[in-house]
Amino acid sequence: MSGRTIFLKYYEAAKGEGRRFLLENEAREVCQAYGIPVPDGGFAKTKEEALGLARKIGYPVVLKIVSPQVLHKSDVGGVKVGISSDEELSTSFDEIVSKVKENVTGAEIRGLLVSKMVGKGVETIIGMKKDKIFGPVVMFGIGGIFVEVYKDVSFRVCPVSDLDADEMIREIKGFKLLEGFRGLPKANLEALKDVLKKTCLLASENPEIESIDLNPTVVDEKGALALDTRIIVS
Amino acid sequence: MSESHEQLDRIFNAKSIAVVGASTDPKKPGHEILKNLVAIGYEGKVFPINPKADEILGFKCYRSLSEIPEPVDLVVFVVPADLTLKIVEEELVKRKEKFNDTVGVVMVGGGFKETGTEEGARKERRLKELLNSAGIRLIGPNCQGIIDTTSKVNTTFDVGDYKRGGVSVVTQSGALGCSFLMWAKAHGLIGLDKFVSFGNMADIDVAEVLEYLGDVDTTKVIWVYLEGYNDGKRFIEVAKKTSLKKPVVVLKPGRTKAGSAAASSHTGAMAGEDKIWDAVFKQTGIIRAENLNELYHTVRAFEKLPQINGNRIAVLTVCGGLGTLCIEGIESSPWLQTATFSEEYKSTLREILAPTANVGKPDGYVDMTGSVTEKLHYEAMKLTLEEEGVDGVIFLTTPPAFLPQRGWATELAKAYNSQPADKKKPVVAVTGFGDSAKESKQVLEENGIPVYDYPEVAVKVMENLVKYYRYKEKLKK
Repeated sequence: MSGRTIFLKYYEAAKGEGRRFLLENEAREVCQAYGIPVPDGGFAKTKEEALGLARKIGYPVVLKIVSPQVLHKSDVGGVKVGISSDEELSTSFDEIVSKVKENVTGAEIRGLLVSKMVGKGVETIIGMKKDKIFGPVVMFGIGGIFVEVYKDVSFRVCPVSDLDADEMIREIKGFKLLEGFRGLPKANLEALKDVLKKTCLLASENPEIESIDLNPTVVDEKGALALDTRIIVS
Repeated sequence: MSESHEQLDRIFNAKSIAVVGASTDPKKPGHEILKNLVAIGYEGKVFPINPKADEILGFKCYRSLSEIPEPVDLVVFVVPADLTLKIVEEELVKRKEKFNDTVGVVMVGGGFKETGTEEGARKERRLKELLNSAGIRLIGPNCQGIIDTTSKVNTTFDVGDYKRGGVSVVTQSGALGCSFLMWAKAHGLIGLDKFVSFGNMADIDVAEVLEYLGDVDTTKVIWVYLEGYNDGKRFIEVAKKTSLKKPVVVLKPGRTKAGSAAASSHTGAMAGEDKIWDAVFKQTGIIRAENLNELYHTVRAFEKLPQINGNRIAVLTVCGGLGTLCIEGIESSPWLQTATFSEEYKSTLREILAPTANVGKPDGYVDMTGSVTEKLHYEAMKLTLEEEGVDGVIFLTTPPAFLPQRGWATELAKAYNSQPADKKKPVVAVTGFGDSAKESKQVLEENGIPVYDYPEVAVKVMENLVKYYRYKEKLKK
């Protein structure tokens, strides 16, 4: 199935439910279809499925809630990281479900996203938003919790050429962090450029998408992985 | 040649111009426009339309457009919106059917979309429709129109005669565009090729003119004041194409909310998010000036100077203070590098210059000191330009009180112009005394060296020369 077909399937479902965003497992699948690398993982409807997935991809794993009522998962206790055993997974699963039900009234729990926990790398933020004049615009920045304060981000209008992608990464004030700084690995810039270009492609082929957030996209010398994938539709 | 190019060509080369709303009152634009046509030396036919006068400034008046018995290429309207619409519908369109003449209309007056009313917007759409369906293009409304220094077509009320040259001005503020021309006029700092003021930009717009000017050989650099533009895709396509052919320097407000609001109300075009425009300019090779100062000084440098082919800038100074400020500016700039001097260069200069002169401390810097002679201006500049490690030179001086200005300036210019035409490196100069050293400024400018009053402006101009060089390299890939 083409990426467009997969997206449309989830888009129609979202529209049907009056939702303006794709569920995380859906966004993850769409990104994967466009070649945007994500950590190994899958969608589990039950605890048994979750355990099966975790054993398959290997501990440690991260658990994330999938619910049409929850867009900001960490705010409502919907994320657990560093789960290293079946036992931990079992307890965490229950904890997340009850926490979310407690914090979000009427939350429909579709299941949980299980993904391989990623090692050391530099956290970057990659995003797309549709500009009224220029259409899809892609954004790159050094991520982390202070991104709203430092606003150390660069923009380019899609389609983004190899040179554009290279330029926009080097433009960042914190670019030094990507060159191997204080124990952090040297970033695979080609991998980052590739994600930027593929984000443009994803946006251009699916005009129903208003914005894309791949935050954080963790990069090390081997490559880049979008740990969180968010797709907002019109 | 595209249809658009042909239409614009015919408009800029209009052999006959009618001015509807011509006036005998010297205080009215309807009079100034005629005066400026005379001042610039327009040799085509001029038809003032004024039912109450027999002649204005020696041109025979007609009571209406319909009465003109010959073809009219360009019609300028200086009457209110409603009357314009009436005349276009009842007379102009009929004349077109009979003579197949008019290719363009400049609507100077307002009362259209800029009013912010639905009524005004409707009138504007109507005007465009009426004209376009008769095969006539519209410039404006609410603008000063055009100037072409070759054909001498001039519909503006601000600018009369103007020196011909390589700068074309494309502006969403007619008064601002004219300000640049008048600012440069007193010292002959630029030569003008074409001028276009769009006003509300109902028909002929920025992208169309940028594309056209990219193909006009007489335009060497394009000065743009842009407040907003709605068709992003078209802008990017045209900008990339044009930037590859010649430098485009843009000043665009919108860095702040207030600026965006003012711009949108002025032109009705979407000012857009500024960071996105920044990205667009970078992606299309357009030089974005941060303010009018930078815009003015950058454009006039691009007109005179050959393209720079690297970013290593040498500082050749007579005044230590000015030189120091300059080298510091170069070092702080992310685009520039200080030049590298060969050992032979350094030893030769040390021989010919005063013992107190500073040669190469730091590398790329020479302070000839005030004990310099006229001849040394020639020798030092020539040697510096011949250095492989030098891509451009900034020359700074007060100038020294005991040296006749014409003398040293001529020597410096001689060295600059002795370079082979295909390998010419750019030189900019700084005179600390400013207009108190008017003569040297004049000699240098006349010989192709732009002169600035401050070192930081010279550095900024060099930076923009290098930016364009880098952009071109990137776009070519």
